[in-house]
Amino acid sequence: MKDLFTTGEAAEVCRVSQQTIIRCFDAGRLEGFRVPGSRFRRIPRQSLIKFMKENNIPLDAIESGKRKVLIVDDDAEIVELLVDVLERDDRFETKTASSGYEAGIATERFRPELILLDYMLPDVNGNVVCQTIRKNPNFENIRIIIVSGVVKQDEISQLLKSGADDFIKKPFDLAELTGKITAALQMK
Amino acid sequence: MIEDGDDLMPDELSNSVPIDAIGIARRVEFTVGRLDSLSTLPSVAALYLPRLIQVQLQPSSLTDIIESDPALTAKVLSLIGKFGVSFPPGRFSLHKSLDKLPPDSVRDAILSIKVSNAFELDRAAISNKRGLLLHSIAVACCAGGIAEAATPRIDSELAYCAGLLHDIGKLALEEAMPKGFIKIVEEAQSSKECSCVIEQGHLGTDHTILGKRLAQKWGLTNPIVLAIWLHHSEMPTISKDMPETRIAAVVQLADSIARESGIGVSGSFDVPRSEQQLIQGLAIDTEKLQVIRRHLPEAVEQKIKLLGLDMPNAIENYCKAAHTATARLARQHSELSRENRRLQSDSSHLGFATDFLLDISSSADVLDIAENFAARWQKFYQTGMVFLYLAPTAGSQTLEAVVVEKLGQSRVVSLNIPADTSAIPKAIVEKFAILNAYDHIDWLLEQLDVDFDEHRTRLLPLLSTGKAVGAIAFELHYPSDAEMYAEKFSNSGSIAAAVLSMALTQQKQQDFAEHFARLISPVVSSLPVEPEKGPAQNSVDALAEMASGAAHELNNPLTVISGRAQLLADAESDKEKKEILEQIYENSREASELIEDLMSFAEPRQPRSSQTNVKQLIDEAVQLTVRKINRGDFDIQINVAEDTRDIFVDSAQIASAVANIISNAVESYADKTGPIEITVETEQSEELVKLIIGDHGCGMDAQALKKATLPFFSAKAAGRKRGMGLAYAARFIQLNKGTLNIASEPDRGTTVTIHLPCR
Repeated sequence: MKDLFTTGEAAEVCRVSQQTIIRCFDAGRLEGFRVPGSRFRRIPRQSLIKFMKENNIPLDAIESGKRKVLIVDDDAEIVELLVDVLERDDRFETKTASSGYEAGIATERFRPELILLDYMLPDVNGNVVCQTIRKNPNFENIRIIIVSGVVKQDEISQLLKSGADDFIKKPFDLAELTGKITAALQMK
Repeated sequence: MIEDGDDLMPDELSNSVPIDAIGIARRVEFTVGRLDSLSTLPSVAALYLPRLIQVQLQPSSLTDIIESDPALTAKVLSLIGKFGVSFPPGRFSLHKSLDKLPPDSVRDAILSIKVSNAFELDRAAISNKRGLLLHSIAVACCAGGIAEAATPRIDSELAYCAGLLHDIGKLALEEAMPKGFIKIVEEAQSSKECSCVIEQGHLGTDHTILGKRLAQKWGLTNPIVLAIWLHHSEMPTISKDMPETRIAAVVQLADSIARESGIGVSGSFDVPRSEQQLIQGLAIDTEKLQVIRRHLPEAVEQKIKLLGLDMPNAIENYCKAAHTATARLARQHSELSRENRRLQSDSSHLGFATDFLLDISSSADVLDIAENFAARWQKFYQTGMVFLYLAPTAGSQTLEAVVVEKLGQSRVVSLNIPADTSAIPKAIVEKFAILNAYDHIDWLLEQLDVDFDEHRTRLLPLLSTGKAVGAIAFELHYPSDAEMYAEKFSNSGSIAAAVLSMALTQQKQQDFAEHFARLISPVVSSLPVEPEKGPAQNSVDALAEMASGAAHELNNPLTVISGRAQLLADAESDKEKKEILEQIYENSREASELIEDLMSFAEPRQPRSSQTNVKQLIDEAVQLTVRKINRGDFDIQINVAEDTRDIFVDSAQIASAVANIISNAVESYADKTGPIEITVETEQSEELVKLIIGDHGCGMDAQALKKATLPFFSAKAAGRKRGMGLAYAARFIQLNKGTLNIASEPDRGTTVTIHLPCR
């Protein structure tokens, strides 16, 4: 369970803009604290829930406690595999997409917290999808892990530069994959 | 104003007791003062109406009517004052001034003049009105003549107007309180008084003051205001001291003469005095005055005829004229409204085009422009969803398009074109037409995940110089409107097409430039001589490509195998089955590692070359070999020439390559541990360093030699050791611009010669 939220994360959970959260925070309508020695705002889980209740924001995004993961791969069996792996683990809620285009739409609608992104997609390369998602300020808090069987070492650093948070090779060790996901989402 | 010598009106002669004289005066002034104009007669209106509704109105064509009616004259003079029309001093001309006024204002002003309801007045009132009018006309004609005859000459037209308007106070009173006015006139008549006196008695004010106020309110010029105000005052005295009141003096004289002539009803019945003084004051020749007197009746008669005052059926004619005028004006109004609407529509289109063009930056991308335009189209034409697509480049199977959903949310998509289909329907590829979208591009719209309404979606081309650059489909709320807007759509579309066309050209040029740059750069940069690849090398490159392609395909199924095995293993409690599942997982991992090897063989990373000391490199290679084969006991002899130059290579890769060769050499000795001889010297050319690794092991036969550097080839009899060693070595050396040569003889040994570059 996520105990502490940044303004960006709170914005995603509440489905409002980050500016709105900041304003509410500064106006005292959303309780929180500032990280000592910096200007960063942090919102404890309870105050966020309280705020959401007060403002009639649906709590499904936070109550379920499940982290939302979007799985993007054009191979249907791999997608199924990943869905099975993640949903067996009660901590995750998944949605899938099979092309860069669909990934864009799904990101918009589903607002995942993490995207497992295959590098080789039928319509566009994973790094383009990465960059496009990063370009949108609404999505700056989404973690992206690129999954691929076909990447050279130089390309891996390119990917990390274009916005991916981590990388894992196919075929993968399930424990390693889950480890990378929880690390990226700062789960315990 | 009370005349000299007159007593104040005795109370018993008045019908109403003026309890509050000032209050009454105020009320009267207020009522009269509210008039915007005097009213005119139906017959006069019947005359001017047909002329007013001419399409091209020449105001001066109405001069004759205007200058015969006080209401009209007052109105026109007021306009002249308002528009600041100037005239040379002393030479006022109504005719000329009229032409300087805007015809529309003249028409509106005259139409605003009330036409008195002559049919509702009783006989007494009608005759009063007529009488007053005639009197005014008489004074006017007289005043004009007198002014002409006076010395020095006074502006005669101005004097005429002053004369015409001198009694507007009375006319206004008559209009505001006709019954009261009749009484006043009767009283004046019976007591042989100037009406001013009676008026003052009853109303606390008189027609000169009221007239002055009206004249000022309507903005009439000062001489006229003074004439109206002072025509019952001591003009001879006043005009001596104040020259600007000379016209007032003229009017007083004219009034006197007019009354004597008995024309009209002036409403005053006192004996006109001061005539002689006036005549003297104005220095008029008596003869001339006589002429004026004589001609007066004639002049007035002329005006009467002109105005049709005695015309029967005046009211009928007026009604007819009014009706016609209204109908005509209504029609003109409708036409103007239509024209106005059309111009507004054009103007808003101009706004649409301008905003669009101004919003585009010179470096805008084609798709950005398309998105911008599509969103604007939706907003301006108030359509539903919009879909704009660009004509694909020749031979391409995909096209790019923009979809605008509700509220301007837009995105760019890339769609497929099935073979044998033209993206832009033939009907609109070169000419403009509005088509039903689903009849022509349903195959395209299906690929989107939004549904355009089948019945309401129209498609039209974006044409630039006769060719469609793209097309736009949109949902109309009122599809039947499409034809009405056809021209507007065509124009807007053409503007977009022109801009898109330019952006596309720009993009093509950029692409061409980049492509061209790429082509010429290898030629331009100086390269060291690349060693020619032998046939074995060529097949290695081919293999590399194949390996790269196969890897992706293989990794996906392996992922599924590995993942599912893991999942099943995790869930399995039976020990044996669990072991089996883990075996599956392990093996899929090994398969994956094989692919990795192939991959890095196929496309190893680019060498990061630096100046490398050969001796150090060889030491490194030996250490690598020890780690690789888990043995350190082999016998190795290294001989590096003193003057050996440094080589320019990726030391890690070359060390690895050399290690592979050394390990092969070690393994060629079945029972022994060596020797393995390594010799290094610089070639004569000073460009290359030669490195020789030799052994006296089992060697290879000709067949084996041919395949030595191929991946997975192993001459060893059995065992699953992967035969990648030499393949790797060859690859790395090739990448670092070196060469590899192998000489071998069965049972004699093998010598591997490597050349590496110094620069």
